[in-house]
Amino acid sequence: MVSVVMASLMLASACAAFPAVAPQTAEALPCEQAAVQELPEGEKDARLWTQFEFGIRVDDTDVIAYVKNKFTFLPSVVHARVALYASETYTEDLDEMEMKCVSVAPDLDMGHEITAWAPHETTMYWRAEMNYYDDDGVYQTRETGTYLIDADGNIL
Amino acid sequence: MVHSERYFNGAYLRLVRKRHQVTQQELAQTLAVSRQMISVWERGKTEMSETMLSRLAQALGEDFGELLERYYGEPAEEELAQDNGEEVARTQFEMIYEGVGLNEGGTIGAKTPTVVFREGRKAGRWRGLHPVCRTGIVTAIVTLVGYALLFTVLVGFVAPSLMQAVDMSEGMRYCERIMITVVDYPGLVCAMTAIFLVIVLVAMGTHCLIRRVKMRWQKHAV
Repeated sequence: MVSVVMASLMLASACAAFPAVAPQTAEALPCEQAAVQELPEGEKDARLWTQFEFGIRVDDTDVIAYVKNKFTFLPSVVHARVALYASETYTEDLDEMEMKCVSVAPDLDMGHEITAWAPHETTMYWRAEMNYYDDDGVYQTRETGTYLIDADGNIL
Repeated sequence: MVHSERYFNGAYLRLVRKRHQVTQQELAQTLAVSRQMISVWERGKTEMSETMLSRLAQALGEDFGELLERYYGEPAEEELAQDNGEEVARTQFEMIYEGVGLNEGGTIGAKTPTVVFREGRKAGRWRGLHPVCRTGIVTAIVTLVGYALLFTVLVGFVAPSLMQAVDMSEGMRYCERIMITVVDYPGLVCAMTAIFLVIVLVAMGTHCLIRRVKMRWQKHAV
């Protein structure tokens, strides 16, 4: 009986440590100040299980590219970078588009998100790019599709 | 074992049987009793009647008088040390009870240390394992069950809900939502194994510490 109680207590205390509690909270930097930051060596393999949500959304004034850390199992260093691109003509090549904003989080906490945004003042094509480290510590890039959004924020 | 202020030595019965290379089953058939009964007599659970002792002596060709004398006498060293470690256990027992409750005649209550030791050894054998080891095993089992439940919840409920969750903020229109999952399986297995070992070791260590403190407190109280 004592053994069962003790085992349960031990497991409960261990489970309490399972949700990720990262030491720092990432905040989106203003576009002018944002810059690509590489993770220090040794922290690239620190993630065990992380789930990101990445995409583009539109509100009344801005087009927003976002990356959200939806779930992290055990404390981990979760690096994420998101950039928002725009162009007046349709293209799927980011080199032909203008970078409007970029945000970098050296350590993105579970439940937090970083955003890169720009106002939709004219009808333009928008595309977002995200970077993260995969389970092998390799820097990966993902892109959304290209979307046409008018000045009122309608997705055409 | 003590019964009606009389000691009887079941271990001697076992020794005699083994000396004649007779199994419990064979002896049971000879004496027309069950094998379990032989086991009970040998473990000193109940006293063997003189009639039965007589039949045993006859069956094995032993001297009845000597058998009677040895059965109701103190166990010999060879009986106590039938298996390795038994002597060590006896020493440990005597250390534990050193100066605790020993009467002038060297008995603990109505029992000799040998009898008490034998009863304790039987209880230990019945339990099978050291309590700290048992705690470790139970902790390991509970932890594994916990892991199974945890992963069932994570994979069965948390992950799907994360995939479906949509930010319904007013005025937000989504162009595209991409889910990206990064799982380091070797790292995850190593981390979970490390946590598992830490849990088990901490549980065992805590139990060991509690036992020591309890034992010291009991000795101090006496």
